[in-house]
Amino acid sequence: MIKSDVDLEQFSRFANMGRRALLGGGVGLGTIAAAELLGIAGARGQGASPKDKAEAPAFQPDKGAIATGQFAPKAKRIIAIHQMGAPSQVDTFDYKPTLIKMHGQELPASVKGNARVSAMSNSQSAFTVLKPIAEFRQYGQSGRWVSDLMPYTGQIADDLTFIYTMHTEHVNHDPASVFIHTGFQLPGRPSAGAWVNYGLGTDNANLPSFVVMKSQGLGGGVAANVNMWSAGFLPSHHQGVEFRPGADPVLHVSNPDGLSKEWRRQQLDAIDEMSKTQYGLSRDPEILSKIAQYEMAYRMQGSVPEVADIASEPSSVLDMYGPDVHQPGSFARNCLLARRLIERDVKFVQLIHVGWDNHARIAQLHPPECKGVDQPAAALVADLKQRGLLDDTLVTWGGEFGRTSYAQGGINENSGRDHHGGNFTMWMAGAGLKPGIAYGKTDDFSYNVVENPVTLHDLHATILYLMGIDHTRLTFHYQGRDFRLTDVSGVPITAILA
Amino acid sequence: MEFVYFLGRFHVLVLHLPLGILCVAILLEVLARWSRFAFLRPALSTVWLAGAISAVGAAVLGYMHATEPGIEGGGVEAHRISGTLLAVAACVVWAIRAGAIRVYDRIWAGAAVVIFGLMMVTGHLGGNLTHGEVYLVQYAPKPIRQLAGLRDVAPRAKVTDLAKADVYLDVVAPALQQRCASCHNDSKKSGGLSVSSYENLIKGGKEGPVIAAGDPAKSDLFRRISLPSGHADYMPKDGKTPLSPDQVQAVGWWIAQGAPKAALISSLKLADADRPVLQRVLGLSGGGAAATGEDGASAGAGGPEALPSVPKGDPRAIAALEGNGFVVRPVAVDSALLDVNLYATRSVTDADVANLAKLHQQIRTLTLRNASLTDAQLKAIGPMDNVVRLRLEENPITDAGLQTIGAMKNLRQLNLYGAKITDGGLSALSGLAKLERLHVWETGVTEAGAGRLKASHPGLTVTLEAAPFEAPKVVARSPAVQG
Repeated sequence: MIKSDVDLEQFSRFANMGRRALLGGGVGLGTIAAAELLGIAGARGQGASPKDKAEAPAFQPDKGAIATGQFAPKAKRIIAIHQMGAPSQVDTFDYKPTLIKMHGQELPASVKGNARVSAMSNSQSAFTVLKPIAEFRQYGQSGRWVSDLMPYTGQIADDLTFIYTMHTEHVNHDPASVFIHTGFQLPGRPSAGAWVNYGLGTDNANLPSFVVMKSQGLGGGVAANVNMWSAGFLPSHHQGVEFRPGADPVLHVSNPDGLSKEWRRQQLDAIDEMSKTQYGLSRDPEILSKIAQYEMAYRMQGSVPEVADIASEPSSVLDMYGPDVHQPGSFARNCLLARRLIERDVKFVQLIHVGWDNHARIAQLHPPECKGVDQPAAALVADLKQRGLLDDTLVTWGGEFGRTSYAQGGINENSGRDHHGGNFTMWMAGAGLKPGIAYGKTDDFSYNVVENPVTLHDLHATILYLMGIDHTRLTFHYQGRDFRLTDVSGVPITAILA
Repeated sequence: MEFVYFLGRFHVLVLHLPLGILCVAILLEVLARWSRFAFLRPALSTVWLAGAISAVGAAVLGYMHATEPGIEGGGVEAHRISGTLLAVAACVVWAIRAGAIRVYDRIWAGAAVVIFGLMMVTGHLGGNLTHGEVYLVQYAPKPIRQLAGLRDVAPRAKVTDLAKADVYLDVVAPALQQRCASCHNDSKKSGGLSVSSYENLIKGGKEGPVIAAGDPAKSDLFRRISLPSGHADYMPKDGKTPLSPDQVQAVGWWIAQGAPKAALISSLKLADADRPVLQRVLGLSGGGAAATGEDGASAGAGGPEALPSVPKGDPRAIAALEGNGFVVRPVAVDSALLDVNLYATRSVTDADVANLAKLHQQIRTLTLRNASLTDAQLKAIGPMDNVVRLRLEENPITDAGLQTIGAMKNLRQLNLYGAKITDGGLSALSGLAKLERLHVWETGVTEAGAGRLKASHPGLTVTLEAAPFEAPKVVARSPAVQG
């Protein structure tokens, strides 16, 4: 849509021509400009005019502010799986036999160092090591160590790239999650999906290009909020569209009873005319955003129910995702929907699974959390792979920080783990990555990074790089400076790239 | 000592004062001889005094400036002598004027000529120090250049082909001339080094050679231009515009090749990572975007791929495809290669095929998923020599279509899931040396057929159906907990 503030400045020069000039002519500059910005083919004189009024005009998808990156892209689509609440890395992927040996003993001061400890445990007098709650075993040709709590992920380990040394400064859920999505801990900046949408636009005009789906695990006290997929200061139509569980994923998309599609089309056309006139007067970019969203909603009336209906999926595919796939709103169902969206070339699908925040009773609560996500995520990767979509799709999986190797609340049957920003594990799969490798080393207690730390800015830089974009060159001018997803730092991790 | 350097820097500023004032003094002196301008005479002694003071001031600052380590050489000496003479002469002229006006009235013309001449000489020598000797005549018309004794070297023809470029003359020398010659030229040899010619470059400077042929790490020139810009040894100094990261890398590559005086690039070993760098330095297309240096994207291994350069695609064909629902994007901002996709699920028409055929050379990635594409239509698109990724899943392509695909020599990823192909047709793909991934789920291809193809292509992965998951060996403890 609006390419940047610069376009607005050009149009504001026209605005100085005076209202009479604009309103006087039948087809003013405002109308042409607005229609052209919306990419409506009819306005440019290309494509056939719609014969049937109920059909929308041939809509060339908006290719985004930059349309293509500085390099040939490897990935065209992303599925970002955010495990909100912070899964414990030592109980999933970061194998540390030392913790078994040192179970029950005080975490050595040399390891604990002077790093800030979260307020929830810094009043503890003892920081006793808590061993991993399940055993680990090795999988595949890469020999990757994976916990017995994640056996399906283990079976696809040869397709995955693990990063053990993610780290963050933030040790509370909201700022850390906002940071992971927007590159800054305070809300108000665009999320990664919004940036990708702004930069590269969409490939499928009938579906929103940035979709968000949430699912709930066992954990409470943590909630995903719209800051994690907001458009921030970018035009608001870049915000992620939340798909709710169930047959009607988007609220108020379907027509109310008694309103036919043709009537709706005429209604939208009328609103369109009025909006364009208004735009011609005020040049408010949000008007164009709104027009775009009405048009998108109109298209979604047809496309979204089709995506959400999994009845056509063969049972062999459904079985891959496990029994939860039949439950709307489950993580498994969301993974399946994510794959269907990817097949329809939606560029950015964000899955947020809320749970994991086991400050207490981790031995009881962590295994069912794992069970809820292990098979579906593995099935998603395997399903994408068999359709050849993994070649140009990127999948990432991780939380917003890690958990401590020491127990919160002493060693007993109610032990939990506290937040730990010093290191946590993510895995990635797909386009442009070297499969079956692990990057970065943590110390024997999974408490500090020893080699190759990776910040979230580095991760974002890598993701943008795989989509062909130099992260320092996708910017938006706001409040007097050029903002970008990676804020002011970040280097793509070339070591994990093929 | 640093304070002296600080003050010395103002020499370059302050010297404009005596130049201006003394010129005015001479001018007014001439005019004042004419009765019409006799009213100027009272002002002249003040003007000459100001000229003398400012000349002395500039000279003193000049001496301070000359204490800086980088300022040395024959040119500096000449400028120093001339400038000192100028300051002295200005004082003498003022003194004579103030003390013995009649003497002065007899010699004023000669004095003016002397002062003027000294200004020109000092100024010119100073300009040579900061801008090099050929600065004024570099762009002068030919007769003037010849008068100035400049050999008219035929300018190098603009390079259009990477292979035909000469590495020193087209790549290294222009870069060094542009960024280094203002201090490292034959008249102002900072550090004793001049980059004006290959011989001088190899000879090196006061501390020895700056280029160790074959070893950039041991070459002081390369060391200095690769340092972070805040480093004390960094070149160029004084905030002058540095070589671009591409130029630095190109110089490093030249040194690694033995720093040859004259060698066509085609005769040297060119790694894939260096090719786009040289293309960018020479301003050729296909280099992709420049590496941004410190915290931009890395241009090393795993870095951006060099893209072949192709002529621009027919814009009408692109517009026609877009008008029909295709999404066509350039693969990268300055590349003519195209990423062509039909994402809408509809049949591809013959008009589409005709337009695709016009773009067959530019297509790098093509998606025609579930588009009822037939073998004949695929063949009609023509030889896609630059295609690397082909998504043709869920189309009625048969083994005959594989024959067409078998000619796409650069193909790396091929998705034929749901196509009507069999093991027999796979042999048509055996010529695809670069094929890395082949997806044949829900086709007639079997493990055996896939295995045969993989045997002849060691880097190839063939995906059939995803292997079903094994039930986990250990059941995770999951007590009944309500979420």
